[in-house]
Amino acid sequence: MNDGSLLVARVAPDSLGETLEWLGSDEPPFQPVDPLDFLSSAEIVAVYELYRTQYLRIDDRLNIGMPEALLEYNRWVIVVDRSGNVLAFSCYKTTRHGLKLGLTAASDDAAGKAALKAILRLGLNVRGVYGEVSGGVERVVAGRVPEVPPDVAEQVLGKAVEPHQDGRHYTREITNVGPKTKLLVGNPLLD
Amino acid sequence: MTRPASKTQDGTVTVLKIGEARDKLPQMVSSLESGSSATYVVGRYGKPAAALVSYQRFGPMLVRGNKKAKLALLIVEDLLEDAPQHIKAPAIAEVSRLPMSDLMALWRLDTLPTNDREAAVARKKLQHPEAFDRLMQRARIAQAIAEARSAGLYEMAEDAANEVIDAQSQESE
Repeated sequence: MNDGSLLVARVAPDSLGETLEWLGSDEPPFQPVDPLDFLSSAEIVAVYELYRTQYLRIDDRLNIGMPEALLEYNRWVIVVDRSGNVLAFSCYKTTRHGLKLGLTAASDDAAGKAALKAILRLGLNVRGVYGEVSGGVERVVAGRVPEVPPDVAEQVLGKAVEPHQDGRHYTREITNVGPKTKLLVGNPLLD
Repeated sequence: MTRPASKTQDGTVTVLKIGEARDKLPQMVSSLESGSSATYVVGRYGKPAAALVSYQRFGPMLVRGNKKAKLALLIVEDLLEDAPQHIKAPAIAEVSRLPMSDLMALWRLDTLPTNDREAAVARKKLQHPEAFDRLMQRARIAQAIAEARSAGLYEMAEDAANEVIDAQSQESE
């Protein structure tokens, strides 16, 4: 995975079939995009609005003042319908262990929610794709994606974790939030 | 003893013995840092062994042979220092396509301008000011990312991503 490129995949909801194997590569439907072109696209405006709609419901402090800040993430999957409306998105960041799931959101309609569930369930089964989950996302992917034990999670995240007795979950400190119970899922690349 | 050896278009060339260079290193660095275009040649056993020049003059020396990509890399690493690699890489590609005169003008910038007046002055020195404008836009992206990082916003938002699905369900009930 090339960390020097911004790749964006624009996909239709019906293309989210049995597998998302391409997510673990830099191949199509990923397309290289100049960050400045991405910022001037209609999609980033819709993604930014979706982010604000969904995340500010949870916490006012999650307000990202400008779409530019979303470019922390260098892999984007954007689900668009035939009219070009953004139904859902998920973004990732390249790390030495593969693609780490970053932000996700879906529109409030059924198609958006279904698309997001498909991305999460299929994507986290792809080699080199992983994410730290809890709450609603954990329930969506539970039993459908591999789990990573806490001692490996600590190595992958590079952050101290406190393993739970169940051998699956751990607690770690989230900046500005405090200690949270998490589960690392997916298929991170290990040394 | 320190002595001017010759005067070149770029400034004074001063030859020093290694002991003299050791004693005068802080002063030489201060002088170069403040914009001097002098060259200090350090000799050992009667022969020139090393040279000390300002970093501003060192960059172009690295890219002799018309290797503009290397100079573009140095310029972008300098001006977009903290930007993520996926922001820097397209900037390097873009800057490397500029004519050498524009590359040299960008190389002479210590930092990107922070106000419109300075930006206007910098643009006037370029054949392709639009490339400068794009560099400024990339710097704004890097700045936005750096601010969000230092505020811990990404970790908070990634944690909140797990609650978005729950919040949506509650809203629709």
